[in-house]
Amino acid sequence: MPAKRGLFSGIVTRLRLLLLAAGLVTVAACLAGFAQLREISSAHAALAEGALPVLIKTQTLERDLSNMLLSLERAAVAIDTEELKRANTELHEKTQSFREQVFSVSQTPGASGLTDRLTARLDRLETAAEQLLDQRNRLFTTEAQIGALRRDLDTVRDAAREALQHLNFDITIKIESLLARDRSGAAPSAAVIDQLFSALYLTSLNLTSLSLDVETVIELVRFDQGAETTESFAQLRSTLEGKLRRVAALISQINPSPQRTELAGLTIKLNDMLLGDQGLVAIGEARLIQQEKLTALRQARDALAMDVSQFVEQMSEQSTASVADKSQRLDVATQLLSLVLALSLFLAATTTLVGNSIIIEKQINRRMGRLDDAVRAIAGGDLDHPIDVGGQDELGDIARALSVFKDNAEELRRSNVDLERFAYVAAHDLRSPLRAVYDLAEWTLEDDENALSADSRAYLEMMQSRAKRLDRLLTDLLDYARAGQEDQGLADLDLEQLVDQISTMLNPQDKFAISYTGPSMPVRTHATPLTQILINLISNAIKHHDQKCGEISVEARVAQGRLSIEVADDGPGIPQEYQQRIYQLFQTLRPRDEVEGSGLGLAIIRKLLDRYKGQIELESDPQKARGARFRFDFPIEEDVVISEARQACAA
Amino acid sequence: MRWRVQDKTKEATFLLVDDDQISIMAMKRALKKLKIVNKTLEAKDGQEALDILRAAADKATGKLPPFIVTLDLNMPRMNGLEFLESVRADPALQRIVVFVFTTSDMPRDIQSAYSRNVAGYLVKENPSETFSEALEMLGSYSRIVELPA
Repeated sequence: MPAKRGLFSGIVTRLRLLLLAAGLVTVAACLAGFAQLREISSAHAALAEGALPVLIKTQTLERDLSNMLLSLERAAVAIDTEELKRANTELHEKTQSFREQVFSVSQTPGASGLTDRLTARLDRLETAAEQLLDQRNRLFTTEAQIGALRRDLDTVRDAAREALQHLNFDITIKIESLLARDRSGAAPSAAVIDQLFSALYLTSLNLTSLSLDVETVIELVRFDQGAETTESFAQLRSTLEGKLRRVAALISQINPSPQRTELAGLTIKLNDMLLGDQGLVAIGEARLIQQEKLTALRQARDALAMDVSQFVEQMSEQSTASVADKSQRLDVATQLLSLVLALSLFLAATTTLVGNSIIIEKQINRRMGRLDDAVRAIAGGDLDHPIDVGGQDELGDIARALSVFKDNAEELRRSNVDLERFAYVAAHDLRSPLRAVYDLAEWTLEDDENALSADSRAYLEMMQSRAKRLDRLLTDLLDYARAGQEDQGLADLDLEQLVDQISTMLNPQDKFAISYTGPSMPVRTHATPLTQILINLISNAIKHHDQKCGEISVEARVAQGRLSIEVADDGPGIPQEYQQRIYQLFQTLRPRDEVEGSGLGLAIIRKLLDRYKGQIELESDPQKARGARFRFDFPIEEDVVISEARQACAA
Repeated sequence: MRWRVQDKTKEATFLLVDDDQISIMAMKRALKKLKIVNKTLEAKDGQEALDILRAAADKATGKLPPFIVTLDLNMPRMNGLEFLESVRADPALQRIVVFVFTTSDMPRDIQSAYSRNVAGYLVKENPSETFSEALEMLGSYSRIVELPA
């Protein structure tokens, strides 16, 4: 019945627990490792699919932005309409490409907020650029108008110069003729001449002044120095107005002539050209305003460009930061994985070591070793060997069972020793008084030989004979008790010689023919018990023979490490119904008075053969044939058999 | 030479140690039959035998006269092996000649006896014949062998 024990006290349970612990550690390590691997994988994916493309796109965006700004700049500094048109087309292209980039960036996760704002800025920038270009175009128109007006002005100036020259020439001629009339005395009077001269001179002065003023006016409007302001234009306007009024006044003082009329027309034209609604000053003012607008627009554009640039930079920073962050995550995950692996390794090693030392070494191996020692020692006959194995598990149970077994074995040995001692003491202590009885009878017969009656003498002799029988019985009993107890060990035994010795001892008068057939070489075997067996068998054959002479044959054979011996006689044989009883103690088949026998011979043989794992069998059937044939086998040493076999071969 | 040996051996005293009176009687009868006339003493156990030996030693100026001891093994009080032990432990008694004369033919007993330096181990086998044969041998021993003085 299996002993009841705690849940974890069985060895197998402990080993299973140990395996389970190791397995759990492994599974936990694997799970942690997988989690870290997944983390790494996701970080890698985030890096490859998110951050890196955004970074690359952002960089493209930056490049496109700078391209766009470059073409915008180019458009801003275009010197004529053609160039402006080309720049405008280019700008459109770049802007479109930039928009596409922004859209592409906006598709990647996490960038939409930024790109929305960026797109808004971009829209404004584009509008600003359009306005700028428009303004620029208008400026070109204005400048063309200014150029045309200037050319007209030059024509007017040339015409004025011609008319003035003409007038001057007239006056010069008049003065010359007056001077000539004076020299010829044809002049009416000096006063008239003086009057005429001074009128002419005055006119000449007026003409000079007029010519100067016209030149001044023409010079004044060559203002295209880039330093004009609204104030300078107002001043110019008032100066021009003054000059032109003076010119008109001067013209009015000139004598009427076609030239004067022409001059007056020219002056009006000049006035229109300079101060009219489409006049040079007005256009110049308009251009100034346009230029200012242009500057403002350019500044706005610059601001916007910077804004966009900042946004792009921000995005770039963001994506760089994202890449760095993802890389960081990847790094951390990798480090964690290494840590988890190292920890798992450590835990597995610790579990194995601890489990090995505690469960396998301490709880199983050492105790098993001690138990093994104890079992071997007890099996080897050392019943005093301690069994120092405890515990509630199977080993403890085995140890306790072994302890019980040891106690039993001790008990058995003690009772055996007691029995042996009893047999010895009984045989001894019974023999001494027996011999005394025999001796006393002997001495009575010796001393009082003549005083005794024949009957008394016969009684005493019978007493002696029974005493002898009892003595033999005790001797055999002692032999039986001792059988197999004393073994002198292995010895070389010459069977032929042994049979001869036994024959001499048991058959001193050579009434029986005792023959031997078998190996002539000595065999190595337990000599004492084998001798005893042969003596008993041969002695039985002689003792129980029903005739005075007979034949006894001893045949020996060696086969498979065993000696097989047959002892056959030509006596009366043993009836089959008794053949089972003959090996029992004190069994004889004939009255003790006829055949002296204790009935122990075969019992001793059986006991010895039991000890040496031999078998004995009897072949006898008195109803069919005389004789009995005892066959038994006995162990021998192998090498002697081999060498003998070789010698047999050689022979 | 010979007479001197005889002179010496004649002095040997027999000490028969046995708790069985009939055994002692048997030995005495055998001695008588063999015409051995040496002085013969008896002891019922080892202790008595020791006392006798020690008394004999005291009397003769500390020197023990030659003794031939026949010793049974199985005896009360002090058995044969214990007696041998005591004799071998006592320097004054070391040189006595001891024959074990017992019914025991246990190899263990024989071995124990010989390991204590006995002169012979005789088993009282066939009550009459071996007995006298053995005693005859003993007797001749007492005559021929020069005993250690």
